[in-house]
Amino acid sequence: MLWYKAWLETRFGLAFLFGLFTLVWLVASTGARLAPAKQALKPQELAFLADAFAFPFIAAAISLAGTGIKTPSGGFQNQVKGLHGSTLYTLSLPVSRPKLVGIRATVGLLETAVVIVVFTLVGWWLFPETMQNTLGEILAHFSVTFICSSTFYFLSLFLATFLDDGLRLPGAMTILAILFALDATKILPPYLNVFRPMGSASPLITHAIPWITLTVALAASAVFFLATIKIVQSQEY
Amino acid sequence: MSDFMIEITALRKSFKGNLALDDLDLRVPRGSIFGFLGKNGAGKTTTMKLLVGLLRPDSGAIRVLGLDTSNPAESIQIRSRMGFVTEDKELYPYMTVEQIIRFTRPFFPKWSIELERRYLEVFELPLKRKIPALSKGTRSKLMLLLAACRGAELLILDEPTEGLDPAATEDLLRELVTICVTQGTTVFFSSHQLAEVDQIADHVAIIDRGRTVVEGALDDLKVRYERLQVVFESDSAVPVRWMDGAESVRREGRMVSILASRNVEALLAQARSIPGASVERLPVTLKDIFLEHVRRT
Repeated sequence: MLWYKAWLETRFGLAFLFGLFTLVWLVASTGARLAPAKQALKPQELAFLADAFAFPFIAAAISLAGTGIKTPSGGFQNQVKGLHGSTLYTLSLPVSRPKLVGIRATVGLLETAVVIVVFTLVGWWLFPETMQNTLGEILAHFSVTFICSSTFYFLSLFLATFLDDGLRLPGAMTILAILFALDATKILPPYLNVFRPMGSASPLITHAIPWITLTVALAASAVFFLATIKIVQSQEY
Repeated sequence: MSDFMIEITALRKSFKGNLALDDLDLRVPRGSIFGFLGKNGAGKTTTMKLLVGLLRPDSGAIRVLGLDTSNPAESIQIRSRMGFVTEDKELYPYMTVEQIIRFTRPFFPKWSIELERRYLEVFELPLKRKIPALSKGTRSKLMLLLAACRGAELLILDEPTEGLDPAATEDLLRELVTICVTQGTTVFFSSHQLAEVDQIADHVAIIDRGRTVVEGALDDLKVRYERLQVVFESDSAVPVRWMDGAESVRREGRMVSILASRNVEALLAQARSIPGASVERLPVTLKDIFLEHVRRT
């Protein structure tokens, strides 16, 4: 039943993302059809578009993350929504805290995967000219996108242990912006940027799998998840 | 198997340096209806949260159903055999009454569908209504249903009747007694309504500033405590000191009211030894005992 609870908690967020992405895709495809015909995209333009295409998936991962146990302080938003009190009900059930967090995290992660697959496919359907890859590259792209977006998901999950939603989303976005800034100024080694393989460094473009970045992404996800569990276990309500 | 459902020994808990519980000792007998009393901020909710495992003690020991609450595995076992009604009666705002019942049921193999149906009818709970649309009183009833139908051996209820009208309070109190009698469930509840504690509790504890100041069977306490009302002929006749056993002494002019916990006969003799003093023995209520203990601090 914790799966059911997690679904009830996330369904409106998921529906909102579907609505928002559909709108964005419609606007983008309409704009593309109305724009005058243009020759092939330059590599920088393609890279920019690929990154722009990937960004919504990070936003989706960040917004769908949640521990299922609200912050002990409640936070303004949680108190307004009466969520802090209901946390006491959740924690009085005969279930361990790691299990509570694990199930909620899994549901959010699966929903992130659905968003990625559905809207990538929609994007390719709307812009078939961008899709000229082998099935292996497409599967590699999905896997890489899922693994890299998971890092942002688990970052957001970690932030959810001490920030309510009103602060968690801007907090995660700020960290993402810092990552971009570090990348733009070349301070960050390219293999540490877990965003690029979802966009401009995707296997669809590079025709190679970024193993080192994937390892970094998985390691970061594991660290964030373990830290989340540790914090949730130690918190008092 | 211990005779006590809850055993708390030398429990200490502080929040940012503020001591909430100060060497609290408490024993709740199995099968009892135990009223847990104290002023606001005395430490009642903190104690209850510690029992459920929502807080961790700084020191001391807590055993519930013979199990250690500080052990995570045993804490889950405790929670599978108890029900908890929180002070604020908050439940998931995105669920309906029907959904929260359907959600809770599978966690408890001993869930009673029969009792669920009865409570839905008695408490007139609207199955399709969202939880935020329920009044606090109706949420209290829903929480009692969720706690009682799971076949719990122990119910921990933090001010269960708060927000209920007198009729609903009466219904809920009656159901608590029924649960205790028919299922052998121990009910540990806090309340500021001393009359309702007096009505259904067979044991009580009064805590003040995180310490137990009175604990025992309610009938024993009422027998143990007596009020002596002494009227003297003049102000100068009123003794300055009273014998051992006078828990509290209140003086209004020539009249002195003494709450005695022991040595009553000696106190009576002391009062009667003063010429012209008229002495009356009065029965003591739970309210008298409570007020005398919490006023002193």
